[in-house]
Amino acid sequence: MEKVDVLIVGAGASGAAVAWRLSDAGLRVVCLEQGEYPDPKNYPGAGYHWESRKLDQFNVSPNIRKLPADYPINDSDSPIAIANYNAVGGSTILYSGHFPRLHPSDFKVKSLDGVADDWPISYEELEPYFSINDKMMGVSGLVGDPAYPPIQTLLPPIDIGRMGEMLGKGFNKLGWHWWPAYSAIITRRHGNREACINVGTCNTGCPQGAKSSVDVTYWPIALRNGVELRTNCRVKEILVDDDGYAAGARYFCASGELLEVYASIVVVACNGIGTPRLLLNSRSDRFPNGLANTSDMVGRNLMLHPCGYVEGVFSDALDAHLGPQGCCILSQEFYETNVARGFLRGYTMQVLRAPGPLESALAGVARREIPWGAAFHNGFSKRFLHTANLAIVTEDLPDPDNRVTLDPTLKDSNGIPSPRINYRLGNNTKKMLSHGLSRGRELMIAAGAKKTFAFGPVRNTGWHLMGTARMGTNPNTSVVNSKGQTHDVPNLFIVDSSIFVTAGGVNPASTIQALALRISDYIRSEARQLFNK
Amino acid sequence: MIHHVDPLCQCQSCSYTTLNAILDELIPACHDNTIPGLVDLNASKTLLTSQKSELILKQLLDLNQLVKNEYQMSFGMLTKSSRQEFIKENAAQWKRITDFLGPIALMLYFENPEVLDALGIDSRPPFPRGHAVEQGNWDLLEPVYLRGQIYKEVT
Repeated sequence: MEKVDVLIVGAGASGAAVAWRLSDAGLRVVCLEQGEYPDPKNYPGAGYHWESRKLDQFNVSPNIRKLPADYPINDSDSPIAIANYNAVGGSTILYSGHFPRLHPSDFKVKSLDGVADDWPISYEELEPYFSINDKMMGVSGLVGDPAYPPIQTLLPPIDIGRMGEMLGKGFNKLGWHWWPAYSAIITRRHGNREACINVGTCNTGCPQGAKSSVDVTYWPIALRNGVELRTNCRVKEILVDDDGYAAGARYFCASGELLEVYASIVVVACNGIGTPRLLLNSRSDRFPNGLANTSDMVGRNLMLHPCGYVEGVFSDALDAHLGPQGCCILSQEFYETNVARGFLRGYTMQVLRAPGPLESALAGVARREIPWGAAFHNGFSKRFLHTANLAIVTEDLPDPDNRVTLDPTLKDSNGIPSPRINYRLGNNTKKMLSHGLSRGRELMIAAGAKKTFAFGPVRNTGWHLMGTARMGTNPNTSVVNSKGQTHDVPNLFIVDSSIFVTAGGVNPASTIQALALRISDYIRSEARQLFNK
Repeated sequence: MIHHVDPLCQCQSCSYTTLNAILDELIPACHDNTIPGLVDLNASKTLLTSQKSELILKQLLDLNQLVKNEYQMSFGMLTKSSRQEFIKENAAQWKRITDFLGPIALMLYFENPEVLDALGIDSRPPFPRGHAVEQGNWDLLEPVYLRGQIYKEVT
């Protein structure tokens, strides 16, 4: 019988960090990943059809992409569609690399604002792991940001371009905070990776390798450490022994054969949708409602960061389509709670680069700002090169009715039940989003826009999948403890964004990985005891 | 090119004529001919030999059925002014066609090097050369920095 020290399910942001940290300590680690190791030569940015390939093979939705590694997700009962990518590197392959940390206040939401729950850990406890992660990933930014405690582990900031500068002036006019983006994009050589050259196609994979996706950061080192990464392997269920401990996993390998692997410790790293799906699919006599789910919290409290979009059209050409797509500057003027605004908690304004010519034309035509016929060229030339774009990343509060369950009929190509999403925006989030859209338009006008456009929530932005196996001290209301260890199964750990107690108002990748590293250190310290269970 | 009398004819020649007329209503050449139109790119041929050809032919048939009732000829045989009159009077039907064909046509159009060159946009793949982007003026951050801490202290 094959038995390893640690089995990790999922090779994305958190799984990769854990694989490195545990293998560095000499543990024998196997990782099962349903996708393949991506080849940067095949990323759209390396070819001519870089824009249209984003619409199908590199679409953010697994329901449109339909690659062999993808599983369908029923998100028809949600205003926000789920976005992900299934491969070694997970969603970091397609993420923009926008990499701010959660703030100290995000960990104390209940104490500060009387809503949701406090995390059982603090920013200060996580800080050393943020720093390790920044160094391992390669993160650029500028020290001295008044919106954060000091952060020293940054490479020089990315170029903000003419558009970033123009919006910076707009922020200054309003007296609002702004700062160069925290970007998981290297601006100078880092290890054996070359610096960013503004290819610009970050959201379909970086052919330069400058975007810090974990296939080029953690994985090469983890593999050198001896981690065995099994690709094209989809886990059906986590196995449990007679004593109620996790024993390993049953999985479909590339040929479709059903295999088993046994481990002393099992780490689940499948994101806020994949993790509850796997736990709910891992039913047994001992755990009839799904593994680690005696609290009935598995799948509940899904948070998605409902996202708003603001656009300004300027007379001058901004060349805003050049540069890293999701990283330019950010504002956290409205991040911390101010009850006078009519809602609790807050949001980040994330300045985006403008889309390329095809995406600009598709959006312009869809909004009837570019007419068909003789006026087409004039309509296009007024928009392309002339727009600035902004995302409003709002903090949604946990709601047990926003949840992931198993769809009664939908299944993946291996016959494993697929997840179903039920999600609604709460009133607090709606007010916050509306506030953000208005402030975004105000910014555009202050920066000189002659026309503005805003809407939200944007449907295809469900990247940030949080809360569905929440962390807490009470086993009746949470799934894992402060160490990521499930309350029900001592040798089963969860390390992805499922364990977030609240969502914050920033992209979660940095915090996901810091948590994963912290949990890894706990596993390292307790390994002997867990092995001798 | 031979055009059959039957407005609903779907022979290759008639299909090209109808589709060319539609594409000319979507993206014609720029008035001074400095930017090509869809027809100049031979887009009809590409579309009618693509995987979506059957769906496109169905759209052409539906359109010509409507046109036939009014003009007793196909859309492709109408004069430019008659076409535009038809589009104006049948806005809902025309929108269905543009909703279907528009995105496909835009993809063809904006990934064509001839078009990108005419628009002054680099038609090469973004990698390996990348692009030059201005760094920006960091002095603009001075008032932000001087304002001091805005994050909430937590004890």
